[in-house]
Amino acid sequence: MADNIQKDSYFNPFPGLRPFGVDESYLYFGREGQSDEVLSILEKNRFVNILGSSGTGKSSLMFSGVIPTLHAGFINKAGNNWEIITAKPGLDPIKNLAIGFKNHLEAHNTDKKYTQIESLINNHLFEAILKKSTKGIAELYELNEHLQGKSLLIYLDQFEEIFRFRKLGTIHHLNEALAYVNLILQAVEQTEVPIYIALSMRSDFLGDCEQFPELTNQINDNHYLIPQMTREQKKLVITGPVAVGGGEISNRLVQRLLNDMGDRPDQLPVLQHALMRTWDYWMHSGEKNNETIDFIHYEAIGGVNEALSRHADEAFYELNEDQKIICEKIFKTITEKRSDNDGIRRPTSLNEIAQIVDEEETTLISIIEKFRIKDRALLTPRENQPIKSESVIDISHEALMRVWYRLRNWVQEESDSSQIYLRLAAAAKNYQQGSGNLWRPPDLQLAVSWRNKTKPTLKWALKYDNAFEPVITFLERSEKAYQREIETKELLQKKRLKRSRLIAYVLGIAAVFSLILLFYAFQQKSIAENQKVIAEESSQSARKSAEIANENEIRAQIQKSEANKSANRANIEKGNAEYNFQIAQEERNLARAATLESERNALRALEAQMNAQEASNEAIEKNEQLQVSQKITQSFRMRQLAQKLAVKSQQQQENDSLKALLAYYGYKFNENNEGYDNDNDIYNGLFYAVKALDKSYYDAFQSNSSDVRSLQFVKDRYLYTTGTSGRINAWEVENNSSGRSIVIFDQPGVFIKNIFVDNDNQKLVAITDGPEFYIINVGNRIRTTEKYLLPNTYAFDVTFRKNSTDFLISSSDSIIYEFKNKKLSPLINTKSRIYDIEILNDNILVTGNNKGEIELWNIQKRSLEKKINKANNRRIHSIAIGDNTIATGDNSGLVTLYPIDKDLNLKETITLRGTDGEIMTDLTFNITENQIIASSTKGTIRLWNLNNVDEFPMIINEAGSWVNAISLLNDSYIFAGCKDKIFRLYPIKSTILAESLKDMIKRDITKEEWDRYIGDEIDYDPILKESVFVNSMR
Amino acid sequence: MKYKERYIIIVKFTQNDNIPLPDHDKGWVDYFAEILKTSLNYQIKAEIEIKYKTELEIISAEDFDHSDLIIYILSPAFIVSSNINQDASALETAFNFDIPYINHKVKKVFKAPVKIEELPLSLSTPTYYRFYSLTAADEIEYQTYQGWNKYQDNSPFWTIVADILNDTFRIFTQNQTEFDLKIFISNKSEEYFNNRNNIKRELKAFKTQIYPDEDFSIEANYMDDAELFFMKKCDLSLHFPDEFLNLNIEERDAAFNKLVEQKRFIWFDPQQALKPEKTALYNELKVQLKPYKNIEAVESPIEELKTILKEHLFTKKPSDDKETDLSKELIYIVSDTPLTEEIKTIIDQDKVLEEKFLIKILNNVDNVTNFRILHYELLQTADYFVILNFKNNKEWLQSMIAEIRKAPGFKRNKIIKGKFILGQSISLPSRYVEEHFTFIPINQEKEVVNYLKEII
Repeated sequence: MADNIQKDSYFNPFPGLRPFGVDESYLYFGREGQSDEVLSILEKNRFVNILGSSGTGKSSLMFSGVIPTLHAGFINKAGNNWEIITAKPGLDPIKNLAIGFKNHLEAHNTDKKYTQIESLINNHLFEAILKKSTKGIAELYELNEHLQGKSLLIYLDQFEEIFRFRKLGTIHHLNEALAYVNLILQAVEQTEVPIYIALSMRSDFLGDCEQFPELTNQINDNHYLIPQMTREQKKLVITGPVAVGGGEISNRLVQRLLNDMGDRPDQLPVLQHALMRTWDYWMHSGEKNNETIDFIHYEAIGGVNEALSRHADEAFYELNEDQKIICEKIFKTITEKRSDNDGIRRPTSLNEIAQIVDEEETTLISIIEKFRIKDRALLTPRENQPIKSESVIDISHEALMRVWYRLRNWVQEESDSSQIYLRLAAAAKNYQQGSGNLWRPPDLQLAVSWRNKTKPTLKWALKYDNAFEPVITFLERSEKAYQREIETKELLQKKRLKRSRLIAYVLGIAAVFSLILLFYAFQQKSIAENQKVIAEESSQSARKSAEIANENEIRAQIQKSEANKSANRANIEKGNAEYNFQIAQEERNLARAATLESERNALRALEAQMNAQEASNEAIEKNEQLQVSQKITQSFRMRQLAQKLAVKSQQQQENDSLKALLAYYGYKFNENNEGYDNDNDIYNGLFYAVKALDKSYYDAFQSNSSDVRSLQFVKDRYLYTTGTSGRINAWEVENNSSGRSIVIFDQPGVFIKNIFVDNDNQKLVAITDGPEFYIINVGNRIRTTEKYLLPNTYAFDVTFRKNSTDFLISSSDSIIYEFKNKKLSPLINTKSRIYDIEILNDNILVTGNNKGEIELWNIQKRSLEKKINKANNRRIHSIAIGDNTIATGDNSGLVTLYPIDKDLNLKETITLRGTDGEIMTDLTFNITENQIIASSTKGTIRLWNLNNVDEFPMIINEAGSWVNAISLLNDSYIFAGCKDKIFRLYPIKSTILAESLKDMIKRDITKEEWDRYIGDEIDYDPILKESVFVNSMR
Repeated sequence: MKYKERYIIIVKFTQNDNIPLPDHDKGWVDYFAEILKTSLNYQIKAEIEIKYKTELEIISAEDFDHSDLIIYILSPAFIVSSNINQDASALETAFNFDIPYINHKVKKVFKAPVKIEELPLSLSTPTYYRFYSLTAADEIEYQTYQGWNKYQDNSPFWTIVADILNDTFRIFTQNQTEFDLKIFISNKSEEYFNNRNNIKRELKAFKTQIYPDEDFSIEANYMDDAELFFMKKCDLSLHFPDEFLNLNIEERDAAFNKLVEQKRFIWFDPQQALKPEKTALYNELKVQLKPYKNIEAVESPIEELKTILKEHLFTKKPSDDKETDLSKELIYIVSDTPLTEEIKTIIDQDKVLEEKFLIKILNNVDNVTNFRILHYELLQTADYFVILNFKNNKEWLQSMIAEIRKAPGFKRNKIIKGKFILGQSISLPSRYVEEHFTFIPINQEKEVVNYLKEII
């Protein structure tokens, strides 16, 4: 029956989720005898790896089985004087091992107060020793005097964490994981000091061990796979501790527990937890003294299946609303999804959690405490250890992830969240490299709602991928671009709607109007016709009347003759007749007027008809306008087709004439449909087509000295070049070509890095790889060469003052010197390496340094005027000044534009797309065409159109002939000095290339080719038929 | 380990290097000395006395004799204000220019960069502890340098402390480590400075002496090519790619053709290779290296490199006992039936065979691991292979033939002189056997000896 002493003081024989501790071996049942087997392996090779699936009790076997047995002296040759150090690899394996040593030392002298120096040593020296060499563990053993003469067992719990650590993937992680494993192997291999190593690891990670071949060998020889418990053993797990605790449990509950738990191995901790809760409930139910633990207690806590979830929820509901949100973030930080239905822990130190969830540590502690108070113990460290900034927070057992539905959802959410982030990271990278586009819905919407919901922090992101900043920028950019797209669409839609509404309106009115007119015309016509009918009728009646009148006249004459007979009667009759005649006459007049009126009416009807015609004409005109807008769409399609043709031309490898035709048609379609002149695809199509037809088209002239490292072109005529041979050549360029050069400097031992000429072609400055630099008076009739020295340093760049032959030199000692009146004097100390300098206006010098900063210096005041940007650790190699813009090219191959206003304030910076990741050697603006041109060590020349900075650049790429220097010949051509001693002159306008290509083409496109490449929707319409083709026929 | 009861360490420094930071009561040197003393006491429960000497106090021969360790805290400030030259020459004269002897006790701790040429001879040896990070950027800016050496909570600081501690224990126990192996690790590449130290620490822990390093060799200063001088002393060389970049053809040839008989590694740090300015250059160099057979380009994480180097160093040493065996030719006999003791004795005692040959018979070895090890060793070293086939077990014979055919694949130094099958008829297709083996039909096991003599 119940033992009163034990029950009065609070006591629970079940640990719950956490493993059994070293001091709890008297409560540890069910694995009797297994510790001995582990020990026999450990004894043989001083190494053992305990394997088992999650929840089989690896740690408990170690703490409550193996270690107590060890202390009892079961390993004969090592005696019973043991020290045990435990550690988990976590996210900082070697440091955590060092902390294991430190904790052990401090636990050894609990009363001791450590001096500042001692705590420094404990915190830092141990780690340094472990990292120094693979013999670190043995060295640390020797350093710690209190270990001398004793056997040391290092127990590395949750060793599988090392595989996750290694998977983080950077070279640092790879190295540290290897170093950690080597430390362990070396500790086992050495024989000087008695160190034993025990690992425990989840068996599902066994396959990951092959990443470390030596470790695999060790594990092959020395592992212990924990067997699953039999039903009898499980029974002992339940009844043993109950008996030790002084309670009694009903047999039917034992059976029920065993049945409820099933045969999943990872149910053990869940069972432990349910038992712990049942015991508690039983203890507090007040009837403990004479009651056995039974269904009533068990069911009250929800049974095996519910207890844990309820228990965790209990803690969760104690939090206020804000805390609940933070709580979710904490749990998301310390867990991770591994596969479909499997999560793993991710123990994380408090300060790191604070950074990841972006909250104060104290806020977190109050939440964590709720989950680790004694009867909960859902989180570790255990309640009796105070939480410090560096304390590692972990869930007590993985089972919590499976059983607590809330956490299960969180883990899933976190996994989804990380997936979105990883996808974004990949997309951002692709976008930067030019192989991907900005995101659009539905992806964009997903990502944006992810961002707004999870509010990711940098520290959080670092858990998965270090591209946080690019991801956020990418997302913002995508958002902006999409916003802009929508706005443009809406605007267009509105415009189109407005226009079509207007047209509809006008057409409607016109239609109504014309209907009205038509109606009116009809009406008029019908009136006219009516009147005509009336007129005809009346003219008929008039005619009738006239006929009657005639008859009457005849009759009258008869009557007259008769009148002769009777005069009186006759005279009266005559008067009557005359009267009738008058009436007839009048009627005849009336009829004539009616005819006239009807004629006029017909005329009016005709007029109305004409009006109606006019209205319908107007309607037709509107219709034509509609057709124009259709045409615009058509030309857009044609421009797309043009680009498609250009791309196809580039892909065409075998048939050069077809290649040329496709490129030319692409160009023509683009041109005819108001496409952008310098479209990248069109240009490249033409470029390679020309190259295919004429291999040496771009070769301007050949140098006979050496490769070209630097070139300068001044006054539209004089070209200076230099290579590695110590020579400087001068060329006169006419008609884009030059015959021979003169050597103006020739000293074979001197390595000239770079040359510079002032705008008036007066002085040439040549800098070398040493302190010497040379000035050649190229403007004089008789050239003279002067040699000067920089004090203990060498030059990087030179820039001439405006309209002057004075110049500034940046040098390797971080000083910018001024050269004036044949004298060199220090001007500015920049305190950093400057590879390129340019003069912005008379008094402002722009420099780019090795930290990626652009600085503006006031030359007169000799002081820093302004820093344009923040350091980004990319070395700026080249600078160019354009229209209110500074452009830089750096060692990571990025070209960045810094637009500035009149007061030198920076507006939004723009990083150009489509770079090749190599150092940008030279940059130059083509102001007239609003382009920027860059050459890189990879041998490409890139031309960006600054009218649309999101566009990809035109790329000139000649395989095998890297370009070291470029210079604009004029706004249409660029000089490039190449490795193969050839100067190439590249047209930078499509028109020039197209004209040249036209002259090279010998045939026109066939109908078959047309249908294949252009499509049969567009009628076959060869454009060359009347020009070149005919010419060449002649 | 046996320690004395009391140790004395002399620390010589200038007060300029020991000015406390605003919120501290100790200066850099105080911290250093106290850390050294405390951490020594973690292991040694002896009294450790640290004696401070100012920059102008002389360290005499007597001081030298009565102390266990002398540490100079070097910095530009120290060089300017101290009498270091007098100090050094006093010791040099007193100990008759036995610089290695002086150096075993005198250690240099660089708090800030000092040019090695400015130091007196006995202090200008390449062994030192540098408490500052030496990269190109710091080199330029060190005057305004606010480096990590001011604070004591960073890992580089403690790595150096661990080095000093390790060496101090060695000095205290008079334990002159015997170095078995020697490796040359080039020190020409500044960017590989930390990596070099990292490798150095590991190899030093495995009794490997690193050149150029440790206590100084005066001869090197008088050599045309100090590098070659050091390389010749070593078993293996390790270089870093940066020293070979941007060389012209002649320079490259000279560099790569140096000491062709020695194995030379060039390690390409994957992290350096990621730098855009290096990627292309590294790739180019790897191609340029191909014609030079003794040079091997290694591109791996540094921890793997350490393993590779250790493997090469440890297997480099040939064991002496094998050499005597080499005078005799080696016969490897495998048999499908356990040979009786009688036959073994006959074989062993046969004079003709004994004079010329060493015979290894492999049958019935007690466990499988030993069998495999011996078997692979013999595949590599045997001159003759003999299969005794009496049972005519087809599968056994087939797998043995396959095993012996593998022999050329095992990095052999000598050619195989003969392969034989002795025994009764073979049920395998003759093509399978005859192409590779000579078949000699015998009926009785006893005949083996005679036939052996005959065929060999």
